[in-house]
Amino acid sequence: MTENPLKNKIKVYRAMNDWTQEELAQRVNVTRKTINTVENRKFVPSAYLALKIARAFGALVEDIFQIDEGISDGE
Amino acid sequence: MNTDIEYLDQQRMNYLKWYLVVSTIFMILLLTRHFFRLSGLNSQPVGIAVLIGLVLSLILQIICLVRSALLERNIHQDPRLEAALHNELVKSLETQSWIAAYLGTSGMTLFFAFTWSFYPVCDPVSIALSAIAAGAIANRAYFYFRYSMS
Repeated sequence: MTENPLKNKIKVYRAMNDWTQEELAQRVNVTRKTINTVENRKFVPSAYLALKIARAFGALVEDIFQIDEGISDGE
Repeated sequence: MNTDIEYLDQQRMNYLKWYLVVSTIFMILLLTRHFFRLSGLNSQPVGIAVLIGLVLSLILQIICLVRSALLERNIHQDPRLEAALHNELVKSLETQSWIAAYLGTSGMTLFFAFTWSFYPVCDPVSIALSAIAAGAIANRAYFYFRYSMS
């Protein structure tokens, strides 16, 4: 199975805002499962969803999502 | 409210779970009846019992599908629910599920091809319908298990 090359700080930002996954899902208008899969790196979100998550936290998308340099993308 | 979304999401998965249970029973009984016919057992009490089970599982399957379709219609009518419940994770898994459908259909066709070595399977319509049903079950099963594990 291919490793997800996108790491994120959703859990950190949720803790800072004291939000549950469900509360974040509500703000982004997706299901809790979707937030869970993104947060646990089981699913790479689209740019649109990444932007919506960043906007919900009032942060920049690159503050929340970073490329994991440890995972080769075959380049 | 997001609890509506979570509730509808759970309800959708519950309908899918029951559809899968009933469809699997239907498929087993369909194959049993197919091989009973080859053995001449369909007119016997055991064959009639299988037929009753087949009809009941078909009715339950239709009920699951109708309830699921009504739920989907409600979701489609509300753009907010539509966006939340048919989000990109769901769309991605639905696309991947077609691989499972292909494998399910191919697997069932190969099963009949293998069975041909031992039994005179000469009912192409039954083989085709069984293969399509197996593909449909595999498609939904893949989605259900992948989404449940999320």
